[in-house]
Order: sequence, then C-alpha cells, then structure tokens
Amino acid sequence: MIEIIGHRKIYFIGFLALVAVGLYYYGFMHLKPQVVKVERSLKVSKSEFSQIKANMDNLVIGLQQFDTQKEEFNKLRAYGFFDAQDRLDLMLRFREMQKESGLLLAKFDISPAKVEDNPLAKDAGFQVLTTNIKFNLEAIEDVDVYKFLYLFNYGFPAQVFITDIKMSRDIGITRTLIQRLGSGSPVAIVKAEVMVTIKTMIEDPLQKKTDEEMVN
Amino acid sequence: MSLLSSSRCVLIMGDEGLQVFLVKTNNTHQLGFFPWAAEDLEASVSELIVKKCRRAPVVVFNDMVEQHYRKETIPKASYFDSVNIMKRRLNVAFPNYKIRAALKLKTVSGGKKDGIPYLFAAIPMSNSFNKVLKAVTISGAPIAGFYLLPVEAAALVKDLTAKLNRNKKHKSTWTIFAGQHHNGGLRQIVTRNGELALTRLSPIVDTDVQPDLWAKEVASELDSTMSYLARFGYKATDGLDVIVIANDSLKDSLQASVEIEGDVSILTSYEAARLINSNVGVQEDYRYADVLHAAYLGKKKILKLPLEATAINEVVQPRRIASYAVMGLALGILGLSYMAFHYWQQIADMKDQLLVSTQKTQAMTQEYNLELEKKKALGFDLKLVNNSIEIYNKAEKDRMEPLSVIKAIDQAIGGETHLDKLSFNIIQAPKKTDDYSYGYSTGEMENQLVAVLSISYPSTDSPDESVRKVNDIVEKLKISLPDAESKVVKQVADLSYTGNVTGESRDASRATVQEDYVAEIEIRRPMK
Repeated sequence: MIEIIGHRKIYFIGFLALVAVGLYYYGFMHLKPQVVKVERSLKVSKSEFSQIKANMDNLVIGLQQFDTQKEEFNKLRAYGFFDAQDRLDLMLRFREMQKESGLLLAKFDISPAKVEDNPLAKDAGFQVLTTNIKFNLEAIEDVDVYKFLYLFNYGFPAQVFITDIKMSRDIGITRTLIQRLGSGSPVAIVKAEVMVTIKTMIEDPLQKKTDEEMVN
Repeated sequence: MSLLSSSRCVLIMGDEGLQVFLVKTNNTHQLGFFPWAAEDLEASVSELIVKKCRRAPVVVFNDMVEQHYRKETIPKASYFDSVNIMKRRLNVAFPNYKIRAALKLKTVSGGKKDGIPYLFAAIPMSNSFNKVLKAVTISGAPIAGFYLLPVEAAALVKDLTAKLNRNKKHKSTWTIFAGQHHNGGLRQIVTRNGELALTRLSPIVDTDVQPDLWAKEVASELDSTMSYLARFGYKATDGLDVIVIANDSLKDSLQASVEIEGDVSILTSYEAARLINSNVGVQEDYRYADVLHAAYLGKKKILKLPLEATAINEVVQPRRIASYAVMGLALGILGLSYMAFHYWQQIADMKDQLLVSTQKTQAMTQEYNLELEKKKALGFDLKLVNNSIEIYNKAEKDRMEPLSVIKAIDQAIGGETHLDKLSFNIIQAPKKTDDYSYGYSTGEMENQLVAVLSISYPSTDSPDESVRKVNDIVEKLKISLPDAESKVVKQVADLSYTGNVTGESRDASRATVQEDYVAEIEIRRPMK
C-alpha cells in the first residue's frame, strides 16, 4: 500500500495531519479558552466601570440628599446599629430586660458573632457582625413574654430579628397552683423559646490597622 | 492537490509503443515515444512523469488493435439489479478478458424499447499494460484513469463535426474520422449520431515522401470502412461527413483519391485542434492525429468509459483515497486556520477594549476616591452614611415583626379564651399575585411569617358555641391584620355532614373529667 501511494505522499499526509491536529489544539485548547477568559475579564471590567460610574452619580445625588441621609444615619447610630456587641454589656441588658418585663426566668445562649461577607460594609471600612441568641423564658403570664419581646425589639442597641417563637401554657389551673400563687411563690405557667439574631456594623479592625500603619 | 492540477500526463498505448504527452491548459507537448521492446521503459516513462510532467495526474488511453466491442441490450430493472445484470452479462460476453467496461448508450428513437442498449468493451491483460501500470506506480503520480481511445474520441469527432457543419442545414448522421498515429496505423472512428459505431486500426505507410501512395492507402482504407458501414445500416440519405487529418501538402492528393459520397474535410492536426479550442503545440508534422486526441482528451475532466480491473483498482483506489485525504486535510487546515485567525482577532479586539475599559475604570475610580477623600476631609463620610443606610434597609426586609401580630391576637381572643400555644416562624412560600389573579401562584418565592395559635374551650361548652367563637376570632384577625391570611386549620368540631367530629358518651355514674375542645388558627403574612 505504501509503495503504491508513495513515501512522499504518505509523509505529506502525515505532515498535513500533524498541522491539522496542531491547529485544532491551538484553536480549541489554547485560543478558545483565552477568548472566554478575555471575554469574562472584559465583562468584569465593564461592570466595574458601570459600578464606579453609578457610585459617582450616587455621590453627586448623595451630596444633594446628604442632610436627609445624615438624619437617618444618626437615627441608626441612636438605635445602636454601630454597637460593638460587647458580651458583658449584652448580659447586663438581658438581666435588665428580664426584670423590667417581669419574667421569672430568662435563660440565654449567645452564639459566637459571625462576620457577614458584605461588600458595602467593606467598601466603607466596616464589618457587619451577626449574633444568634436563644432564649428560654418562663413567666406567670404570657404578657410578660410579650413585654420582653417588645423591649428587645425596640430597646435593644442593634438591628433585631426575632426569627422563631414557641410559647405554650402547659400547666392547668389547679387548686395546688392557686395555693402556691396565693402563698406568694411564683410558678411558671407560660414557657417560651425564642430565637433572635442581632446585627450591627463595626469598624473593620484590619482596615483600621492598615490606615493607622499608613499614617505611621 | 494534484487531482486539481490543470495539467495532465497523457499516455497513449499503441501496438508499437507508448506515446507520452503533457497536456496543459493552452498547450500540448509530445514528450516521447517508447517502443514496448525498450528495456528500461518503466523507469524512463516514470522519470518523464516525475520530471517533465511534475507528477501531474496520469490518464492512459488504449489505442491498440486488440479491443473488443459488443452492443448488448439489458432489460430494464431497478438500479442495483441492472448493475448486477450488466456485470454478469459483461462477464459472459468477455470471459477471457480481465479489463472491461460497459457504456450506456442513447436509446434510438423508434428502436426496440424492451431494454437499455449498452456498449460492452474489453481488452486483454497484456505485457504492455503491465509495463504502463508499473511505470505509473513507480512515478507516484495520481492515476486519473484507464480508457479506450476510440470510445473517448467519439466526443472529439462529435465536436469537430459540429464545428465543421455549423452552417450546414442538413446535419449528417454518420461521421468517419481518420488519422494516422505515430505507431504507424491509421485509426478510423465512425460515429452515428455522435456515438461510436465502428473503429478500425489499419497499418499504412508512415511517410509522406510519396504523397500519392499515402493518399491512395488512406482512400482505400476509407473505402473498406464504407463497405462495413452498409452492414451497420448506413444509407446514403443519412448523410456522411469524412474528416481526415493530413498535412497541407497532402490535401490535394487525398482530395483527388477519396471517392466517397459525403462531405470530406481534410485538416491538419493544428487546424482541427483550433476548431475544438485545443492546441497541439509546435509539431514537426501535423499529419498525426494522436497528438490531437491527447490535446482534446487530456483537457476533459470527465471521460465516458473508465476501464475496470483488479490490477488497476489496486493502484488507483489507494492513490485516489490518498488524494482525497490530502484534499480533506488541506480543507480542514484551511478551516482551522480561519477559525484560529478568527479567535486570535477576537482576542486582540477584546484585549484592546479591555485596556480602554480598565483605563477608564482606573481614571473614574481615582476621581471617585478623590471626591470621597475631599468630602471626608470636610467631615462627610458619605460612603459610610450611604452604605450603612443601604445595609440597614436591605436587612429590614428580613424582619418578622411578630409584635403587631401578637397584639392583634390578644385583641381578637379577649380575656376569656384560653390560649394554649403560640408559635412564630419564617417560611419560604410561593408568592401570591394580586386579587385579580385569584390567588394563583406566580412561581416566585417569598418569606412569610407564619403564626399558629392553639386555643381551647372547656368541654362544658357546646361545640357549636365553640365553633362560633373560633370563627369570630378569625374574622377579627382578618380585620386587624388586613395584609395577612388568617384561617382555621383545626376546628373544635366540624358539624357539617362532610366534617369529622370526635367525642365520647358515658354513663353518668362513670363520668370523669372530659377533655377540652381544641382549635388551631394559622396566620400568614408576607414579609416586607
């Protein structure tokens, strides 16, 4: 077969096949992924430009609306949106709220704070801190639980999210219960389990450090 | 790529030897004549194909005496059947000849219509054929095919007759074309309605030193051919054209010698070639017709009757496949190159755009940061103010706000009803559309606050009274929470005939404390 076709032609076919395979690999394995990569970079760059342009426009508008926004910002500050979530402070506040609401018991379980991945906060040199807290409450009346929740929702220095409430009255009104209440010893008639998340913004310690380092 | 070459190397196999021609678009070169007895024929011809023809596709024409023809009629059948029938008939017609082929002829109007006429042709597998095949194989040039010269030359005769008779009103049915070949023989090709009817190769003197002798021999051979024609159904009324290839110096002698009734045209090979838009190039002698055949047939891309034989196929098929592979790969390379270039161009364009975009972004960022710094220096941390408000407002959408619902529940149940359980949680549920879409789901999901309250009534109350109270509570909730959906999920008792009621009846002496009636109400409110 090789004799009939000729060595020269066989080599030529081989050479063409090699060139074709080379071109195929160059085109599909090298250039095409590069096209996709550059295309993606271009899209990212264009989107970055749009974002920064929008920020610039917002800055101009922001300047015009600054008075209104500053008022809102001050309110956030007053709500405690920039509270550092000091654990000791939290515990003291819970104790106060328990007393104020008349709850018999307010057991709490504070989870470690988590830093939310928030580009807006990062851009401003801040972090968003979230903490989950679980409460087990006991009260004579359900209104006490309501008072506690009210204090938490409107008086706690953070953005508060009550995510779950389970309240039940398991004890029936019996003679013994009335006698115990009459003798002045409190009995937990209403029990509640409440899940709360608090959210605040704190200064990013890393960025702060960098700024300080830069100053020094 | 050589299959696409415009040049052809034409080999004409005669009884004496092999003629080699190189046919180009506008010219024909006679490269040499090789007698069969030559010892180094294969090597010499192969060298000529390689060096002079530059491996142009080789087309071989058999112009030897031993050619066998037969007209056969094959019954009409489906395509595959007719192919098989034809092969079988060809085998039967020429059992001793290995190289054969069949050509479908035109059906003569008014002729028999019970089948399709075919021209069967065959040649023996000779020593000279093997030599040519070997020479071509050694050269490595692609083989365009093996053909019978008289069969293919019928087209030349047809074209030539048409050119000569273009001003003639009555076209002749028969044409005799006669021309001397370098092998020394006079090849006569007789066509009827443009198709090969008869061919003869007869030896005559190969010199024009004695013009009268040559002319007389040619005239005599033409007369012999005429005597054959009568057997083929020739009638004087059909009309006859006679074309003879001869030198200018012989024209008069030949004209005087030919005594055939018909239009006799005597042309040099150069003149004939001009008429059919070919060129025989510069020749020593223009009385030979084989160069004319080479010039005409070498330019034809498709010929009528390719000869088939195992020996030919063994050489032709692999080379054809190799040529197609080369063409395919070349096309593939072309396509891939275009694609690669397209990608490369795309990358270059996008990189330019990316550079511009990056520069613009950098400039804008710089400008933005400068503006911010200026504002910050003036005591306005705009970024913090804007971003913190945005973060706060976004998060507000996730607030459940259960206190307003608890207040509404408290007002709805009043002081006398016994609230056993109350739970609040957030669920993901399909978003409901406006009132006009009758509450059908849009497929979108939203966060909803779900409150479930469990209330009980003493067993001393009548069930219908308790049901009424539960319904009252739901109605009150609907009024106080208009954006929420309040419904009874568990009624104290369903007193309708489709409902379910559970209870017990005891003897008064065995009365114990009876269980209370319990109802459950669900409130669902979409979050902000």
